[in-house]
Amino acid sequence: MEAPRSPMARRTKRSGFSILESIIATAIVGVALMGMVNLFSFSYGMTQKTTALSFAYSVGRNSLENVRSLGFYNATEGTTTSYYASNGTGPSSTQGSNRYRVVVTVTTDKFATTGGVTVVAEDALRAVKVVVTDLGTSSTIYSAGTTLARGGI
Amino acid sequence: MKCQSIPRGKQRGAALITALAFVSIFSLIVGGVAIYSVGNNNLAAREADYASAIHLADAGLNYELRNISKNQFNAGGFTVPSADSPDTGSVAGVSGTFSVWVTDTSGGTWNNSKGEMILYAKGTVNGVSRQISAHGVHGDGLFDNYAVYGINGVNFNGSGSSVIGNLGTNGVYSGSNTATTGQISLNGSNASGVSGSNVTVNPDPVYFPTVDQIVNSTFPGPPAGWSWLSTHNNNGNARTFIGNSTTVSPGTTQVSALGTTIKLSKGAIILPPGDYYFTSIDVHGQGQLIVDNGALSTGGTKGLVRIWVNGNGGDIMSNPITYTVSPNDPSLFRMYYNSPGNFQIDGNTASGGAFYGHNATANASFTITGGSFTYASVIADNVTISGNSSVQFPSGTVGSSSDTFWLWFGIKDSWKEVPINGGSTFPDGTSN
Repeated sequence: MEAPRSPMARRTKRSGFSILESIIATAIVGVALMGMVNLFSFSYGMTQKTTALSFAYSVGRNSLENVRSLGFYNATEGTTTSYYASNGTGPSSTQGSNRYRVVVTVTTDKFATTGGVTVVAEDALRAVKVVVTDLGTSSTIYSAGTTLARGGI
Repeated sequence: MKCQSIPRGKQRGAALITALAFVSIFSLIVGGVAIYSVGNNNLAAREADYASAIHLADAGLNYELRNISKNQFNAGGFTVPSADSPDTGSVAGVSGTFSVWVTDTSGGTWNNSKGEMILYAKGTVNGVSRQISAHGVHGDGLFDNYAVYGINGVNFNGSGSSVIGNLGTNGVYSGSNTATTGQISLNGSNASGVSGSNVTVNPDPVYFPTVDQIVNSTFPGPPAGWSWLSTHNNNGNARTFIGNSTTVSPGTTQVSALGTTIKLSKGAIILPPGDYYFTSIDVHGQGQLIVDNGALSTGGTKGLVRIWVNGNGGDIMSNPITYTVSPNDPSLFRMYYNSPGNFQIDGNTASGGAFYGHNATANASFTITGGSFTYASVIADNVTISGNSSVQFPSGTVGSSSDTFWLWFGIKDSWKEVPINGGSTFPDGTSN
């Protein structure tokens, strides 16, 4: 006949977790937390990237439309650089603490001279390129381009 | 009292289960956030690609507009791009490509004589494509810009000779820059001979259609061109009278058989509105050519008189051409000269119109001489202005809706987005 167990013995066997169980649980939670922190960090970075891309897309498209609105003859040949802050303020002609750089480049494939002065040839094709760079990461986040022609839009 | 025991299996593992539950729930939450972030980023990237694609399509539209305006008459250098064989390109430094093609307004094959066109352009970036379409219309015509254009050269003989208006050439300009009152355009690497504040130097030549191209387009037949014109002209409508008067009235004797040559030293040949075909023209002495674009001889409606010359050259018009239309309307006279030689024009003329000579294999030339003063747009392989003569760009519009060739094309209104590989009309059912 089995001797009755003492109350202490019963309590020890019935309550709490074993050390091994605790260690395993802690390890699982720890590893999971590390993964989740990484995942959260990734999500945060991705959101930042999305914000930057959306901003770059907007400001890049706006810059392209501005050149288009000048038209074939009046678009300024060469490169124009402007800067925008991360909160969207701008454009500014100096970098300062601004976050984004917008470079608009207009290149013409043919020039004429009138009375010795260089002008855009009537049959030229003018290429317009816009590149938006995130100065925080030094990466190009948006680029777009179009062309201008006499009689075009 | 007997204490009820909890089975051992139900006690142990609770921590693990709790941990796993915690991990699972938070993994789902954080994973969801990550998926949302990635999705949002993809959406933004896709949106940016869509925007870039439409800009590239726009680039294609302008590319083709320039290509057509610049190269359409460049023999061997231009093919009308079709949906099956579009022109393609890109903007340097920008990812993505465009493809572009044109049709006529009915969806068929376009050519210059149709004037209007539908342009389609598709931009593609990272697998995202968008297509736009626009209605293209002609701009400047052959006779809208220049008083004189010498495709191979322009020659002024004599200090008193001049051009009042703009002048252009793809060849050598021989004369002072002050002989031309307007702008002088030297186009292409072969153009030279003059400098000054009124001289514009363009890197590329301007291509013009040959008279053969024009006649083939104007009279598609079959048989097309000269063959058609030789048997379907209005030479039989010409009228004549003997005498010195140039007063034209209805009922003037109609020529019974004018044939295709004019050799006239006395009297006048009257040409009512229509197309006339000749192999040689020699009007001298007291002979006179009356372009009756006012239709005075027929009592009909004023209209276009076109003279088509395809012979051997050596043609001469020693006396002034009289035009009957009133008020002056230079859009109602055209002379197309395809002979491999020279057409000499003397004498003062008012109103005028356009003289055009361009032969693909030989020079079709005009010489304005004899102290004449000609109101016209003169475009030919070679143009010589001598003997104190002048060519003045006519007042009024030289270009005519009946002209079938244009040098420039542009976009009417704006473009609209259309379904990829869609039909010839926009989603709203219009074609413009």
